Amino acid sequence: MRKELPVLLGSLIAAIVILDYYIKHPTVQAVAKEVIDWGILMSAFALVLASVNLLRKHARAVIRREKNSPYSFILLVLLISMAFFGITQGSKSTVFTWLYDNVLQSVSPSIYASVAFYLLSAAFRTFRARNLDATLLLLSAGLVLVGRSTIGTLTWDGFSWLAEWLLAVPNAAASRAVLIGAALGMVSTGIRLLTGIDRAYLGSE
Amino acid sequence: MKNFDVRWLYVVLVLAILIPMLRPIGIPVKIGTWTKAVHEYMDKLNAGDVVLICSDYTAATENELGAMRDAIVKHLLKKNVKSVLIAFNSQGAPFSNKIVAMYGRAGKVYGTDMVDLGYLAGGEKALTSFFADLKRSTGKDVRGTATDSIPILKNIKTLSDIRLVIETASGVPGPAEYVRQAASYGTPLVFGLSSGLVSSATVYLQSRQAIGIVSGLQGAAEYEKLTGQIGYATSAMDSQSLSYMTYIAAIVLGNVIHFNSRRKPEPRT
Repeated sequence: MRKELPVLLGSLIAAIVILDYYIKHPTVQAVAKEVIDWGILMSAFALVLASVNLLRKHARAVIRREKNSPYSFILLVLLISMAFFGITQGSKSTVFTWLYDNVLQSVSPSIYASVAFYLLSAAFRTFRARNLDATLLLLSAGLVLVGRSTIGTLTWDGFSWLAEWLLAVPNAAASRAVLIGAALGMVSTGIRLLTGIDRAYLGSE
Repeated sequence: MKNFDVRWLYVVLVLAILIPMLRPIGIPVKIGTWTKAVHEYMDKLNAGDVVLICSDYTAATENELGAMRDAIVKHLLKKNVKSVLIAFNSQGAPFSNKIVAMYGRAGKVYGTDMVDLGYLAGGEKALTSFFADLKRSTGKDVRGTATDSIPILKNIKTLSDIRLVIETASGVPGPAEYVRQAASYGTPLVFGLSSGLVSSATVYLQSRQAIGIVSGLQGAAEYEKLTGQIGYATSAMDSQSLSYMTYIAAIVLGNVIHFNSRRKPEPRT
């Protein structure tokens, strides 16, 4: 019963949400909406859980003076201060907004921008015409880069058209294949979860 | 040449970005079909129409998507279109403040011309709930006012009552989630995406599930040109173009070194 009850509950809730898609009856819609609202509450709680986990991990690192504990200390200071001001004064308060605009919004793009150098190094080392496949990849990457730049379109109008065609036709075809594959995978996983064949989410014995 | 230090390329990249910022070149921006489609559709909006703007991007992509957001909101203000603001990404919620401030500077009234409904956790579940009942799923706006008493939301219950959805995203939830959840309501979708997300979103253009895509900083520059409001995106295009040329140069150099090393066998010791 310990394992059968959660599986039964999961299947029942999923059935309600699936029925809501096909049966537009007020009662079904109301029940499905309530179920989804509970799901949203649990997602919000998961955010809190993740923050608490982060807090514990880095607090332990600071207390034990592990190798990167100074960085853990900075993380804790920022995490606690943003949470404190956000909860007590609201996310539109002056202090919270200042921390968001001057810390998160400065540091995040800087870290993101460093990816440009990794990409440059990767472009130099890996985009080599070793065989036909690699050459086609290299040519399409080059055409998209040129087509998406103002210098390229200034040189020849066709580069812009080529870049859009590459993204809209071959790339879209491959994306569709991936999407359909992923959707079929999701359906298969869903059926396995709903029928209790896959019980990995129940945890170990 | 085989021992070429890639850090020289880093120096070239930094110069390629910095020099145009200090001394702009002014290379003209060509308008792409996807951005043009978005602009043409938004030009047909009428004064008083209510659109939904979703800020689902992170602080890391603010420089790219912020420029796009500003260009689009300026266009909405020019057309006197009203906006309902929401975020399904926790980092996106503060960006709605900037849209509220833009509306405020244009003399618009909070609650009547725009409203900020804050952040709704839950990813795609939140989209399902929100699109089914905008007012009940949020309950109140960021200022604590009950959604039932907000004038702009008076005649709005589901997504069907919204004229257009403008989704700005750099990750999840993204185009796939919006297409799945908005499909049954018939409300048109427009995407403003970071460059990395565009390749997976082009499928929705051909299937007409989305009207158009404003793609990254280039899309933002194109939109600025279309609306005649030149801003940050246009000024950054010179740097972006030169940095793209640096990548091309890196690819070419890498291949020259590769073929050169293949032609000259290593001397036997």
